[in-house]
Amino acid sequence: MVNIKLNNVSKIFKKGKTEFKALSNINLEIPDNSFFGILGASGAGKTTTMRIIAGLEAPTMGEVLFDKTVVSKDDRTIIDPEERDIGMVFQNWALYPHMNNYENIAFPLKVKKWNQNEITKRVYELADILGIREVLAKRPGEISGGQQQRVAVARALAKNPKFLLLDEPFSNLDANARDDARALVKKVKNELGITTIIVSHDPADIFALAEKVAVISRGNLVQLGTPKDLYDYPSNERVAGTLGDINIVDFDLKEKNGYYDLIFENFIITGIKLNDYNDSKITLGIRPEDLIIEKSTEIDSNIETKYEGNTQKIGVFEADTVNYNQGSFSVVLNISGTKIKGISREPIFYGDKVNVYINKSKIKLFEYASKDAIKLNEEIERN
Amino acid sequence: MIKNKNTNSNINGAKNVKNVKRIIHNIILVIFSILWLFPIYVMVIDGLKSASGVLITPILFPAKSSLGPFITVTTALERPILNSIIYTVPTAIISTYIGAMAAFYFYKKARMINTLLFTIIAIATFVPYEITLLPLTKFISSIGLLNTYPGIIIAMLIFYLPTGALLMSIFLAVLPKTTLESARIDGANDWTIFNKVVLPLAMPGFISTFIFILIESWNNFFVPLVLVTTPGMNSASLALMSYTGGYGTLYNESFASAFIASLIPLVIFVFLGRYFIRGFQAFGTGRKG
Ligand SMILES: Nc1ncnc2c1ncn2[C@@H]1O[C@H](COP(=O)(O)OP(=O)(O)O)[C@@H](O)[C@H]1O
Ligand SMILES: [Mg+2]
Repeated sequence: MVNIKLNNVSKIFKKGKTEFKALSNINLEIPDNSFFGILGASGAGKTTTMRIIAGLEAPTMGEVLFDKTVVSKDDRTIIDPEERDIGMVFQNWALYPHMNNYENIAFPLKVKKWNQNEITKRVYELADILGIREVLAKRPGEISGGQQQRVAVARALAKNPKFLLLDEPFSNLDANARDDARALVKKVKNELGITTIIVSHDPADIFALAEKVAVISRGNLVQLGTPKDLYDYPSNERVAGTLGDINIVDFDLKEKNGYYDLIFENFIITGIKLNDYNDSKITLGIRPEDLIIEKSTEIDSNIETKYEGNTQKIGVFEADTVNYNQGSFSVVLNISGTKIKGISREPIFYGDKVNVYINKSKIKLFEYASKDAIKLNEEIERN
Repeated sequence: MIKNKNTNSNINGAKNVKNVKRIIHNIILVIFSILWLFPIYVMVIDGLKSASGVLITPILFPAKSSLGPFITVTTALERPILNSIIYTVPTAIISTYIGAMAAFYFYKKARMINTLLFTIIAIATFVPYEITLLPLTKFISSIGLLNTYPGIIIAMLIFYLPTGALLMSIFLAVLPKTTLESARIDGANDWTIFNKVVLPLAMPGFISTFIFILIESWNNFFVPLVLVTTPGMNSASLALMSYTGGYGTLYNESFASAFIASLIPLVIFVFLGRYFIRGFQAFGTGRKG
């Protein structure tokens, strides 16, 4: 078990005369025994971060520490990957195609010169935990993607590594296999109590597994926290989008005795308190589940008590497209060309008149110019 | 009904196009096979003729045959063929294996060094033998290995190691990078990675390179010519020369000896040829080794 630390890590790739900065000044500490997530869009620098931790790349600047030991620093690898005692599952699993699955899992142990009985015992033990005992005699090319992924996890865990690195381990699986695989990884991690880092572009992986998450965007670490914190309080518009579906709309501001109205066509949110904001426009983020949609029934009193929290009725709109997924209907409103998505619990059809409510306590506000989050002290006050 | 007919004729049309393609394909294959088999055919039928028969009958047609010439040359070529095997098999194995190691080293090292060394090796591969005549002879005799098996093998290695490194570099370039990295993460050192992961994955390429070097060194005339000083050490390629030139060429024995001497490479190619082809196919189809 080990505490991993990245101090001011930057990575520059040189291709001929052009330089590309894949990571800039990353500072991270991954505590012993934690399940840590790194989230970011494709090309953000996640794999590069992981390869630097593994020792497959050296940081161009900065240092990587395992506990108190500097393992690489300023373009030098001090401890080679083969000495770092880590387990890693690659994005494409990278199994040995010429060995059967038993030999794949046994490979790190043979390298460590374990004796044959110990190896067999260990391989079977892992195969049982991961449910791949029947496929041990087959080669990786002869089993399903989900099974290959489990073989890769078993191989990574075989030598009882100090920690486990998972690089998009589920991205090559179909949706069902992915749910199973997440559950399995969580179980294994809990049983073995090993420090684990998962890298993914899919927030679902992070919410299912990670206790803490770092969001990377274009080589910069933009936010660090629990998944829930980041989901509810993203530090900028980009983080908000990385953690899940969100409507981002620019609103006009109109002051009304100390409070502001946010106006976008006939979509108007009233009574927002803002301190020291000096722009006539503001960017608002609202997640679909915080925009509640129901069939309009003409009489709609008692809005305030209808939904928990700080709910405000925006008005009556016309449903544009409707998608059904997993028990809810996502309804898109088309407000002069801008699509805004909300959620309905009952079936809604194209052209239906709908009431739209917004959960004001879940509104995320960003500066119009910089798209950085505007800190709202506590809840947004009611009118 | 009409619709059905239509699709049927469409399918038939597609089938016809396919058939025509296949026929053309086969015709081309047959033509090439004949072209390639032609020398063997000539060697065999003319090798079977008598010394005078080979002079008076048309070269492309069989005539009165006997195994006589074949028996004569086989006896005469026994030793040179054995010598050639001793020269070429170790040369091919060592060149390919050490070449593969060098290729693995380039694969791992920084691009810049890689390109530089690679260029040097590529140049070395194409150095004409003749330029090396003096230094090579001097070197081999200075280490006291003139007219010995090790001496000739070492000289062959000087020429074929770069070839091995060059060819194996091409084959290693298509290996999946993360698989080798994954072996490092698993704790394997370079030696283990090379033997347990790189070689098995690059086996088709390894065999292709082996065959290529074996045939090249089998046909190598220059190295034995300058380093062999007694007939007992003759290679097959040298021995063949004794059937042409000199006083009065015996054409039937020339043909027979040419056939016998090319038998070994031929047999190897027949048995390992599919690996040879598979190795090269790995590039075309993007299949890994
Ligand atoms: N070896 C390399 N040489 C040059 N550029 C690279 C190399 N590896 C990664 N990059 C670049 O660095 C950026 C980050 O890559 P990566 O870490 O793989 O992203 P992610 O895993 O988040 O999708 C990408 O723009 C990629 O093109
Ligand atoms: Mg990646």
